[in-house]
Amino acid sequence: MPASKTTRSRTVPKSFRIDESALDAVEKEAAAQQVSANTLVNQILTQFSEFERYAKKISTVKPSSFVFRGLLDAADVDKIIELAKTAGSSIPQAFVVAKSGKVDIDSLLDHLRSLALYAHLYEYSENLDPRGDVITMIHEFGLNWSIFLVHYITAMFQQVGLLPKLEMSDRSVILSLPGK
Amino acid sequence: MKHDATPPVGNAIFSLHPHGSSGVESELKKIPGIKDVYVNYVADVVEVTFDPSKIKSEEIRGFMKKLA
Repeated sequence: MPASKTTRSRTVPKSFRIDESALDAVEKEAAAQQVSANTLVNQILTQFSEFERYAKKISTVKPSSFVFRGLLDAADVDKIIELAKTAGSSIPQAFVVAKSGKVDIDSLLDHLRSLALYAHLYEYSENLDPRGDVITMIHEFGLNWSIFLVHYITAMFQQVGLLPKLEMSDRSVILSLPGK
Repeated sequence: MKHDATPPVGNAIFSLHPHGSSGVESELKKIPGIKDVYVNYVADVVEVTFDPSKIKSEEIRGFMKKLA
């Protein structure tokens, strides 16, 4: 899994001078979580290197889950579909090109994982099988979010000439990809 | 019929809240079929690698809810 791989890649010693109040906050949080400050700092830097520095390039904002759900529920379904198609055909590509320099199935799947890891847009599960991968996304944002995801992911994979099979309910989207 | 020798692999990302993080890693590692667990305290998620022929992600999620 790329996220684990990156967070567990080789470590190197490095010295920095950091703001005292920031260090105090990190040490307090580390104590509360019962982990080392080293672990916490490493995860903070990984989140920046893997997600935040690319997310800011596409002007990402972070509404609360309550506001996000409320906006989705209030939105017109046709507008959601239109937005999903537009976003899915441009945003993932911009993100993965900035991150990996290429747009292919693996980089797009990495994008879907990143949205679970760092944006909390759903919980993510993948069964990687030579006969065909199955990815399940479970969320609590209602049917309109599933509709958005289905059209966003469809448009995203169309960019690499793939038409995935998608199923949805009001709390999940299941993506099936053909075997390699 | 040709069979691919590569076994299926399962990976999952679950939200840590509201399940909480205390003991999640050690408890999940006791479950048969779970190969690796990594708790990300900054992202508030737990990443799990598992054998999908032995355990399903829904079962792992259910176990985490019991832990909370």
